[in-house]
Amino acid sequence: MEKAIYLSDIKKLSDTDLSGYQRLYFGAEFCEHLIPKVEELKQAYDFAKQAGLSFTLVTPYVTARGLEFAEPLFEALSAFGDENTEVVVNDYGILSMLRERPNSLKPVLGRLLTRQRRGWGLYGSKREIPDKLIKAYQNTAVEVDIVVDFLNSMGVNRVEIDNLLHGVASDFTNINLDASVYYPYGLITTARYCSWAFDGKKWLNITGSCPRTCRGNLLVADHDFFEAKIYMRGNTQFYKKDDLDGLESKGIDRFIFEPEPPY
Amino acid sequence: MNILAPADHSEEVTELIAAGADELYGGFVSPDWQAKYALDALNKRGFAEAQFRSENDLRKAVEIAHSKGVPLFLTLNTHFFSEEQHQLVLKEVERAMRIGIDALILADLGLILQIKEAGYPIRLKMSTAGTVLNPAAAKFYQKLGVGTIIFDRSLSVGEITEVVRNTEGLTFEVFIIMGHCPNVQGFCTLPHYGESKGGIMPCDGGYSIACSNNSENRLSEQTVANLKHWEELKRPRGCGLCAIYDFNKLGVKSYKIVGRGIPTPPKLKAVRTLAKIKSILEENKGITREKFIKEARKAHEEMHGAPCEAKCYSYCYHPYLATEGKNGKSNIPI
Repeated sequence: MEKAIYLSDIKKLSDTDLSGYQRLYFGAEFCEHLIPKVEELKQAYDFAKQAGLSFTLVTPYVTARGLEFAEPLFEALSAFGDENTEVVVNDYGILSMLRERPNSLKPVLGRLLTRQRRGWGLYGSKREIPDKLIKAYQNTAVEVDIVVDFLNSMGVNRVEIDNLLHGVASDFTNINLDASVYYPYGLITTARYCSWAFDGKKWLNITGSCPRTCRGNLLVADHDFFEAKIYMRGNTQFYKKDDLDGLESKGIDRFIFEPEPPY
Repeated sequence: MNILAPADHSEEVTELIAAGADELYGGFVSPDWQAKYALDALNKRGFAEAQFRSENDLRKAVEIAHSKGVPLFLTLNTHFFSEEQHQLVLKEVERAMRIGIDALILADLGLILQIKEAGYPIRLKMSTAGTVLNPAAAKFYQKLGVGTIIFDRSLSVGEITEVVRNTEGLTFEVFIIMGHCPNVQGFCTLPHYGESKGGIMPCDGGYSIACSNNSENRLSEQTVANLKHWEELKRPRGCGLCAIYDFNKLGVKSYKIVGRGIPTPPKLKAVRTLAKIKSILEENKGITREKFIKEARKAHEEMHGAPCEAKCYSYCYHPYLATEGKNGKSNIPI
């Protein structure tokens, strides 16, 4: 079992104890305006290497603008020449871009593209959901032979998932893909109509440069419909589940610890 | 400019086309599928009103539409299908082809790959649930046989322009009336379980927000107000009419009315509104952008019985159009 720690705020690097981990995840998963600068990437990469950790850059879903933000990072990562370095992709445009690079970086299919239906577990005891509905939503989009073959052909050999509140039925033991799980925070939803980037007239993240005022803020919410607490970070909402029991036996060989919900 | 309208049963097809619909789309869940899984596990709508009532009803709708030269597209756009579900969903695809469906609206990579491998001769549209936000993602799906990209609601005119101008051989659809949504649809996993006509969805409100113990929290009054703004969401009033001028110049082909599962009268109202906009563009080739936007806002007021507030984010798809004018001033006369 490989243990990774995921930091998406450069300011948290120096305060983080990396002992017990073999890999550092760093980057932005949900917002193109928070894609790190090359200098920040180098700082995080050096921090990981000094601690003897492998390095994974996390990238978000992106518009054309975000593709431009990401390109210099791939250039810098390629220059490090480290075969163990990975790039988590949450956008097929980013995956295509990586495939077109001469020194192909190792892509990992991020949790947005494995497409679990996470929200069904939010109800808890507040609502009884038919068993057949719950069962239809305990797998991922990638446990299908034709998808596995396609991903392998695209250079993807690892996929990432969340630890569903309503249970994970996925089993990667006999699938030609390695699998990682994020914990304790799992995705509920993400938005480009970002409350932090709205100045009362327009969404600055959509129409211009974002002021990044989400940085450092974390909100916790209850919802009338749901039993689970909702954690709001930037433009994204998460649930929390600490219990990882049984996941190791499902062929999941990497646990990615999130000290706090990522950006 | 094609007006793309939702249809849920054959009886409304003639009326929708007479009102001006150029294309139709809808859903159908076979009894086989329903017995094993659930309604929304096939096409993202968990209520019967959003599905054609039977295979015969769907066939009849296709026949009526085709007799008037109008294509009908079928939604099979749940986020993904499992290996087990693939066998059954392929039967749905084969049924669609037998019936004469003109294109499938899909989101699942696996299903696209299966259809490509099977060599089925049917057009594929990438649903907004497929989340194509950039030209590279559009080309990715194009290589797999997708011919049309349906854009996420959050994409601005400028962001859509980047995709359209940097790809070739694709057609494009935009959401333009009703069904505003706060989240990125393809990545949203909030369940809409039990939603029904006019029902409240979890994204419409119900949040009680508190600051965490995180001492770094520094909420501005604006942010607090923003966090509550979806509680004021006027989903049925979703509107992007102002942007049609730009989209039309760009060559966007289809303008989609959201509304599977709603009664026929509001669908007709939306189609007639768009038909009016279409005729304004066709009959006034030289119309200026400013004049068009004025007309679009007038059409919004006629449709909803209340004026467009231009800067209102709770229903406007493109509120920045109100503030992007010279010197930061609105270019939309208010």
